[in-house]
Amino acid sequence: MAVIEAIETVYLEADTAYLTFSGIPATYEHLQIRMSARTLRAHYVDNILLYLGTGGGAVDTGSNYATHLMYGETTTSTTYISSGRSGILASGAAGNSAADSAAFGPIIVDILDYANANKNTTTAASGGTNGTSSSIVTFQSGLWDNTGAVTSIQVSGASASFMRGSEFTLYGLNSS
Amino acid sequence: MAAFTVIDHTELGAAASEWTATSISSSYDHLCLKISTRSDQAAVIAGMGMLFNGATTDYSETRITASSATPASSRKTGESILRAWGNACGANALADTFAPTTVWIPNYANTANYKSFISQTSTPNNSAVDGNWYLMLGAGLWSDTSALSQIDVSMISGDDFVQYSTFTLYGVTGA
Repeated sequence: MAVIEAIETVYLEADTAYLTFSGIPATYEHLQIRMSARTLRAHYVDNILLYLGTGGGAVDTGSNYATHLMYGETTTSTTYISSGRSGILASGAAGNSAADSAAFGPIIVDILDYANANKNTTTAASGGTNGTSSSIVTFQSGLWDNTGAVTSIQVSGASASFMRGSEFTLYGLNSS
Repeated sequence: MAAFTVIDHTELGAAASEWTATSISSSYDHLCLKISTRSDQAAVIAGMGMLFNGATTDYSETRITASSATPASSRKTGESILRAWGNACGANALADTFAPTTVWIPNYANTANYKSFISQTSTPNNSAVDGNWYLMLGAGLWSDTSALSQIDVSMISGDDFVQYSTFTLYGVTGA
């Protein structure tokens, strides 16, 4: 058995508001999402939102999440902080700026112990994208105040739909 | 041959002061350590320490951190323990919340080079108050050419890791 297994890859053949990984088995120790994303937002960068679900049900869209993000944007470094919010926010997807027509932003999200019923679900993500006149690099933590095993993950563009050509792969990491 | 191999996975069945991986084989190219930890230290943010081969000299680190609106960077040199690379959630963080940390140690068995690593760690919490959450990217060095065969992770404060903390050490091979 491979230590890292690809659970599912989604390649968007058309612009799409969101995608959902569902039926995630509890057999792995950790999850990782690797994405190359671009949205229709008329800006060089966009954020993404992660909504999590448990028990095979719908994802939780309630105000049960927190996000802490530090980022360097061109020559400025600062943070974005939000608790009691809907969805975990991560950043680094490319936006649909006319000057950067072929850029897609990479984002990697780690979800450790996603099936451990003794732990709230936490995420750690890094991402970034380079535009013609601006650029961003980010590191982010996320919290879902729920100890249920994660069985579904919805990935949404925060401001606009994902564009055709965006790609998302969910990996499972084994511990034996 | 598989690129990733699980060297050790430990989920604490009871509170413990440290996690140790010993007799790490030199047959891999790199190591990757993924940690999900919470401490009984009476704090929101609880710093972890790390030793290579049990050595207590020649460590240095650089980190960029944030726990407010303004990220900052700092450097530590001449350290006896690695102390600026990872945090656990402390007892005052949201209940049932554990901090995720990943450490990459390239060429850990190469006896011609010092041992370096990068880490990313965060202390999630359901709070927007400064100091009640933490983000850190770290880079560290052990100025020693010995092959790395042991890793110890503990709490800087001497407190324990709580039950359900996990430590997964992967060996990573090239082609």
